Amino acid sequence: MIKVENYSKSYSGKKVVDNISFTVEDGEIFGFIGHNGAGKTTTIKSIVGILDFEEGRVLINGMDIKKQPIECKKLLAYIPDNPDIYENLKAIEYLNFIADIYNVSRETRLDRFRKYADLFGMTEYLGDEISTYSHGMKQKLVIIAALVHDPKIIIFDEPFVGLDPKAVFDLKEVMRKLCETGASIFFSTHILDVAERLCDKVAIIKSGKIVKIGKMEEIKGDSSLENVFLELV
Amino acid sequence: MLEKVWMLLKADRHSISIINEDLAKRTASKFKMLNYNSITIIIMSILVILIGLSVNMIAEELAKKGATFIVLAIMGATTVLLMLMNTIYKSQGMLFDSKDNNMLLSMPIEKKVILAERIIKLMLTQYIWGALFIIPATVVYIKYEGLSVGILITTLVMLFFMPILPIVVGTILGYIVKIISSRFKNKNLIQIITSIIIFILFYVVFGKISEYIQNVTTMDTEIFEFLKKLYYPIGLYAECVYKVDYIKLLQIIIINIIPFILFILFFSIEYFNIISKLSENHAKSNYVIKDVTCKSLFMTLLTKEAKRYFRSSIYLLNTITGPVMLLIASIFIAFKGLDMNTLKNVEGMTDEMLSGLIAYIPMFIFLLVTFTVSMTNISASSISYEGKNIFTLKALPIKVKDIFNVKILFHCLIVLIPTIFAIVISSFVLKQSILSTLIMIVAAICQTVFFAIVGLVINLYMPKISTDDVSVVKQSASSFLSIIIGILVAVGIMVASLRIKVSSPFIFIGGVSAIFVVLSTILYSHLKLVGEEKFRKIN
Repeated sequence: MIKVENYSKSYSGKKVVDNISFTVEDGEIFGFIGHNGAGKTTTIKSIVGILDFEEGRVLINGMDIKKQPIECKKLLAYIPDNPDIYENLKAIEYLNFIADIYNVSRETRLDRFRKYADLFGMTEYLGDEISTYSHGMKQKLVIIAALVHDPKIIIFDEPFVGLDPKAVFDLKEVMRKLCETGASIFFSTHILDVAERLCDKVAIIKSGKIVKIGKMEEIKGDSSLENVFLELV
Repeated sequence: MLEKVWMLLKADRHSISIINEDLAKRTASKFKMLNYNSITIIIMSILVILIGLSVNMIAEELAKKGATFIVLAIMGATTVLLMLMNTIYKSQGMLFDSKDNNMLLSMPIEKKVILAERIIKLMLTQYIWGALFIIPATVVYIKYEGLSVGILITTLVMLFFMPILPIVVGTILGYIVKIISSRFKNKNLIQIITSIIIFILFYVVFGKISEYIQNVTTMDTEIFEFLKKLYYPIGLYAECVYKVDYIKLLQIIIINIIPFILFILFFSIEYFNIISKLSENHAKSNYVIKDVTCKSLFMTLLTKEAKRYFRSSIYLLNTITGPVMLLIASIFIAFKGLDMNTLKNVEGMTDEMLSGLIAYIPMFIFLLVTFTVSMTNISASSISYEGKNIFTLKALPIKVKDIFNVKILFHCLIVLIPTIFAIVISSFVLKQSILSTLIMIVAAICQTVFFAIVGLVINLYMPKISTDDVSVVKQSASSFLSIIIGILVAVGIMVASLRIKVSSPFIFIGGVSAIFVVLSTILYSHLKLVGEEKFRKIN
């Protein structure tokens, strides 16, 4: 479970995210929607412990990310909006690196490498240096790496950007299956129809403030998420 | 066309600078009165004055023998060598791996404009080197030999034409390195090996010049003949100034201009084919998951650090040269042999002096190691080198302290492995006892740990997050400052070793090592105290 309480973040004295709160329950898919520069990535980076923040609290399964960062991060997986990963490593080396950090056993990691690399059509490319990869391949690799330790909470920042249609479909399936096992998923996106079909809950952020939050059905009502979003933003 | 070339040059003007742009910008942001341009002018002026003073010292002696023109040949040769090395190095980034290839080639700009802009950029960088060395040399020459129109014309012609041949040769060598490496599976490794071979050759020639300069007053003719053989136009240049010979001046122009025209003709046809071929990069797509090995967190981080280090030719070549050269030098001594007793034949050498010299061998080795270790700055780029990937380390469940420890350890391993081998080999050749060898090894460890921590602390305060290895390793304030600090510390130790009289060199070595241990402890405590917060703030 992710709990964000009264979170605010400023850059050079200017508040870019202003007092936002929300909860992502276990087994829930939570969509975070907003225009460019609304504060989505800043919020996400604070939740995963990359970015420091001045006000509020972020709790991961009840633990404060500021006070127990290592324990929180062991439960998390983060997929950034831009897959800037170690270009000089081979993909298999990168996956192994992540598995080593999370102390995943040899058998388990092999199983998961095979399972997710096959699913995303990446197995045959794992022996290549990441620098030879296209944007979409890097994005797939980051997703595979994120799933290697079977995270309880997954945070995606624009996960569908750069993926081919099949990978988008497979990722949505993976997200659903993870939720069925009780994992919480929090993700930002601009693809509103995907969010509409996938999310249990949604929050719309505008200029650093949440302007609408709730269950998907309540938010969109008889309209579409796109119409609601355009009206609000 | 010229207008477009100018436009491109203006957009990329900072790549022409030879001063540390990152440090200049940081300084400019601290002192409101200064900006990047004024800092550049100040630094260049200081350099010109310092070079001028050094040239004057050599010229003073040569003038007494009526051979002042040799100073021009020496400075000319030094400049040409620097230009050559600079071109080999710069041609990789400016010509072959230019980051803006895709952007420029997709825009409505003629290819010849792109090529012209790149060649001009390369030439302008070399002109700065030329001005730095040749102008003070000419001023010093005029001081002793007087001003004449001939000197001015020759100098201007030389300043204009001097960079041309080094650019042609340097670009071809840079291209050969690229081509050879692109044919191998492990491109980076081959690029590293070929570059090391070129660097060693460069050091041999440079070492020869330094050797001559040390004996400049007794070997003036030999120097001149050597330089003339090394690079014929330099001999012509010095002779032109000396005798004001316009035929020879014309010869200089022809020698430079013909290869340049041929080079441009070839390059204008082949350049874009070359960069297109070099950028071909495709996945092999034949991997089968078989087995994997599990490592501890510490070993995982260390392995990651090693793989990234050894796969970046720029990071590796710019940081490992010192320890590797030290090792090569010790192996060279081992093969060549060094018998201290031969010094007995040196005029004025008494037995007492000889035994004093032998007793100070550990000090010589220690000082050599000090200079090598102090100027090797792996850790000073290690945080910056994380680049945009820094989010990976931040998002993973890793203690910041572990990240720091691994970076310090990695720096120490890379520096100490060749250094310890060098100490052991030279101790063996120079007949040192096991105890003195061990003391020298411990001293090397103390120094290396200190400089590893210094580098890391500086990098934490001055990170340069960029995807470009060149700007991180070569042009960052952090790597520049760490080298400056290293030089100052090494010079300080050397001066102290000359001033402080002790009964045994080991007392001095032990004292300095103890100071390093104390300083390392203080710095490491500082790292533990503020490092985590600093690291978290890097974005």
